Amino acid sequence: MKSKYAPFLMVLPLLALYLLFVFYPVANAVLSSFFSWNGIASSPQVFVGLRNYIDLAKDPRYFRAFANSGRFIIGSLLFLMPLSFALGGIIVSGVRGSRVMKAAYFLPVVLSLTAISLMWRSILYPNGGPLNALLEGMNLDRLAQNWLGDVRFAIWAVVFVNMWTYAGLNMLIFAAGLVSIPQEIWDSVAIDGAGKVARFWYITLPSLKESFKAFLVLAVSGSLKVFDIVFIMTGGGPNGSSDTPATLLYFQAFRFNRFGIGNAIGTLILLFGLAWALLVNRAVRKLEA
Amino acid sequence: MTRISRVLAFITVVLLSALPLAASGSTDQAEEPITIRILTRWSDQSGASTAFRNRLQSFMEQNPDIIIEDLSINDESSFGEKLKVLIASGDVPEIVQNYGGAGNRIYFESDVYVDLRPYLDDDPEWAAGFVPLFGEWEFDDLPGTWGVPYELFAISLFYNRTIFEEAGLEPPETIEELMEQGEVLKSAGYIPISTGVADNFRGGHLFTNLLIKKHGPEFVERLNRGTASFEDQEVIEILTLMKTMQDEGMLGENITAVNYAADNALFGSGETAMHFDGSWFLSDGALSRIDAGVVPFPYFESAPQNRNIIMGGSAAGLALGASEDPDKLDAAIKLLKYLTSIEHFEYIRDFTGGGVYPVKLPPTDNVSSLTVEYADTFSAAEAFVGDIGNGVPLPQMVEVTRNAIQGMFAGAISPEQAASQMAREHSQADFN
Repeated sequence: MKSKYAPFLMVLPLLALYLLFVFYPVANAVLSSFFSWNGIASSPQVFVGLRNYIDLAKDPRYFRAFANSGRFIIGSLLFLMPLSFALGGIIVSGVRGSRVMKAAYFLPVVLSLTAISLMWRSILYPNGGPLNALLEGMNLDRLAQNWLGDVRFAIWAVVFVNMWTYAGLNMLIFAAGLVSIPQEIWDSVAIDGAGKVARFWYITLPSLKESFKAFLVLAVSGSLKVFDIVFIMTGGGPNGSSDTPATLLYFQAFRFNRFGIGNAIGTLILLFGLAWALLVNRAVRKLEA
Repeated sequence: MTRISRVLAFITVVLLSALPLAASGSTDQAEEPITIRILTRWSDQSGASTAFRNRLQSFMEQNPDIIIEDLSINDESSFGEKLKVLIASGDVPEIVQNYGGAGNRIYFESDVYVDLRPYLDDDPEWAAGFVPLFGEWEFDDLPGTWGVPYELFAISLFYNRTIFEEAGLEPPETIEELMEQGEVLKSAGYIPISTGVADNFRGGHLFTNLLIKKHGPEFVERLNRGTASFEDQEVIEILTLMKTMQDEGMLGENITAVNYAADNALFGSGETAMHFDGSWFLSDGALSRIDAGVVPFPYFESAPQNRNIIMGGSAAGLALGASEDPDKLDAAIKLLKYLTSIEHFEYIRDFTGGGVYPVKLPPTDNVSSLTVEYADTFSAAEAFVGDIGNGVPLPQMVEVTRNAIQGMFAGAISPEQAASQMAREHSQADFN
């Protein structure tokens, strides 16, 4: 006999795990953002209302950190998206060597982010590092820069490495979308005599709405919470110029003992990420309508 | 019931019956060894760290009832962050490397660490072995001794004898000589005094040395008490000098991307003529590759009264994490005494062939000439001063100071703006 509670009982274990390991920590972090705490287990948390958020609003470092997230988003939308789309197109095109290309483009995704960051830190090392040595060897000395130690370049250098790292993963998102377009559609547009531009504009792009949606949500939420590459390559420096909200959260909590502020930053990252996901969903629904 | 089900049921019953037996049986066995954890920065491959780990091993061999879990991590930032996570979760290791000072006071006040005064009083022989360097762990208005010194340091100026002899120079005694020699050394193709600030403490140490040599410990004390500001002319003057040194190429190229390891490598490879550093550098491999000498950090001709004011003191100490388990506390005290005994530091000295230590060691010929030279650099010290910001009652002051200096070297902010950045944070301290 089927019980009406059976479905609920079946999802209960997973729901319990979700509540325990996702909902509870998130809710606790949000709640803690209204408290001040010095990071000592035996010290009480003191309720301060919105003070942590007001402190954030007054401090230019937080605006700079969110502006840096904006740079990651710009990099993702202007460069990473077309690049990943193009790579996805290449690997599903069946051109000679596409299997090798698929593996090569995907390789950075399987490498450790620490290894990638250290590798690029060496490549970008200004005093005799490979990139500057190459530029100097090509008589392009003027282009050789202190890539990670100059406030003008540090954040963009990290944005570039981030794109290099994730191009392969996003390539797969677009490749999956491309291969899911039914062959019948291509056959019918061929009969209709549609050109390459028309095929791209009227078939390929609309069919990849879900891929673009997935990319946009992942890219923006990833840009808001990017931490490891920045932490290893620049440590947020020089003087915080390449800090992102996630590195600031870390520094505020673990270096400056301001756990309330850290939680407030974490809450803002969560809210911005959620708002963006909702916005993208809504935009895609509008397009479908 | 199938045969398999019956077998499984039987096994389950047997296992369940065995559990209480196993539990009761454990009381008859020998007592479990006590495990204590230690968190320090001595996890690298330097001689001093290797010797330290050897001693932990020896302690365990001599005390089979105590197991030491070594959580040490060399990188300064990673060490600090690991410790803060453990403090935040109320899980402080039994022995912790600790720098003391106002930045750590909050932990002492909150009883994160154990007051060692009763233990020092109970064991006069142990207490008498130390050089009086407890200042970082004792406060006028907070009773107790919250740590014991482990490392004695003074920032001195190491130099490459060969480079100086080739250039016909003597190591500089004053900042003015240093600046003049810089031109000669640069034209000979050397970096005068490599100072990479990718690890921001290097900029902080240069700042501290220059500030105390110019304005003395009184000004630092005023900063610590909040009666002087980081925007005062004294600070801006020093920051401007540092910026000038960078602009003139005294400190090397692209210094914001050069870290401490690279600095050491530049000295070891003979690319930089000078390198300022502390006692921990004595056991560094860089020194084995060149003919190195060491002199006191230069003073200003205009402030000879500060000639013997030295950046230094107790670089690091050891503190006991509060533990509710009296057996663990006893084991930790035993290990602490072992690691700060005369015998311990004699072993470290013999193993590394030198070094200076915070205990009264009997003299020996078994030390390098460089160690003797190094000890001379602060033998006439009138006062030791720690990192600027360390005496300010604000845990982040040292880090903010170092970051601002790094930003100045990166060209992001001027010396005045760097001073303002420090002053903004300084104004948040509670000086009462």
